[in-house]
Amino acid sequence: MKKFNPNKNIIITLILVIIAVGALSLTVAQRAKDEKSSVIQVVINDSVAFVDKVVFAPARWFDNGVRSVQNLLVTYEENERLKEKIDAYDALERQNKSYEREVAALKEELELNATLTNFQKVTANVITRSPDSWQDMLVIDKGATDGIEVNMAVIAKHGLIGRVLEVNAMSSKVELLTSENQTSNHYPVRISTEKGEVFGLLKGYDVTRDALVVEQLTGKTPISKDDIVQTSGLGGNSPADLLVGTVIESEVDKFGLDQKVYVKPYAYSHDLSVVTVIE
Amino acid sequence: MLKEESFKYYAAPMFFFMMLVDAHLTRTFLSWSHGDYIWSTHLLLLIMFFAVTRLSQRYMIISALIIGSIFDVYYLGVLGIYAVAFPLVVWLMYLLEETLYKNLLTESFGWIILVTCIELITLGIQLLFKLTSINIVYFVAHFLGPTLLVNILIFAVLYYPLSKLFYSK
Repeated sequence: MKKFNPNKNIIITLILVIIAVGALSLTVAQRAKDEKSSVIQVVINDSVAFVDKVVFAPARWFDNGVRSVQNLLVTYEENERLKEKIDAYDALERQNKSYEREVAALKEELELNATLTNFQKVTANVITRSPDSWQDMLVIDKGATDGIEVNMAVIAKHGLIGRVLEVNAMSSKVELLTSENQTSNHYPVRISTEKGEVFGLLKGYDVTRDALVVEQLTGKTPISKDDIVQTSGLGGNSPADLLVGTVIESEVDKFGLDQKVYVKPYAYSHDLSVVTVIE
Repeated sequence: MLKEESFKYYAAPMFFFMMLVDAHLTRTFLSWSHGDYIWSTHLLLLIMFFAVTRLSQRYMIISALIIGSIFDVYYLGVLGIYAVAFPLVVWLMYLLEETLYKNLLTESFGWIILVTCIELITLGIQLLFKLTSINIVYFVAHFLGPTLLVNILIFAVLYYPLSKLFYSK
């Protein structure tokens, strides 16, 4: 193709740009609207997830083995620490049991079937993680056939790590809280301070401080370091009482109107192999 | 040293396998560095870089388009970021091949330019569609820097075996 025909090339380039922008806009809109994935997406996602899981199973076993050995090495110190904590535990457990009985009785009185604190858990393995530096997503091996739906909360060990973004038949994509996506759903949270509770919205992630950012707080209660942050379940989009993290610091924003609270997450999102999805 | 005719049959599955290996390697490096630095490997691009000398342009661009789309749909959920970036970079590879004399020095510079291009193209598209926001200094130091470093290392380590495999002497 040595003859350079400028008109034809420009037209071809324009058509390609239009197709690319169109495809991108369509799929971004579909992802943001929480619609069910189309059949092609489901097929591609599931087949690639299956191949990925099967081919890299040895790597996963090796990883688990290494992790077990590492756990073994820290067992002694952990044992000492836990022995100290066990004494206070028994009394708390008894108190908890009596509260549970009371709540169950009250629920039955009011005929509440599904409340914010009733949920089921589904454990899933992480097949792979998005290698793109800018999008933080995990691919897990449970899908619609296991009851997963879009927007469900996902926790790892104890802390909240993200939300289910897309569901296919046998696999799903989880978007982590640390992703910088500006069109994703935000979690409503509750900060328990000494003087009462404050509600806010988990708005994003600050990379330089390695902390989650909570904004739009209600009230003026002062927030101190080490206050516990949990999801509040308000708004009906997420369950309540999932641990998010502890407060590092809080500062007032540029206009002096709103407070910004930096929260250190409980769960570290860079070394995940098993996650739990809350239904 | 590779058989000319049968290469084009197993090239595409090999690219697909490399794509999966890339993601797992990147994830391993991520967990070693405790989430601070993202060392994103581009083994897929390296194999394509060498395969460009043996395969036709049409085959490479079409397979780059398909692999890019699968990458997008599987890892990102949006179609169009890598589906655009991979064919563009492959087209750039052909451009480089036509104009440059092949020599270790020019190939290594070409490699660095290609890796930077793909990172910048994908970043640009994502910024355009508000899928991410960046803090330039932090990201250059923690994402682009380590990515380039690990890719240069991979190139240095794999150049000799791959050139023996792909370049018919």
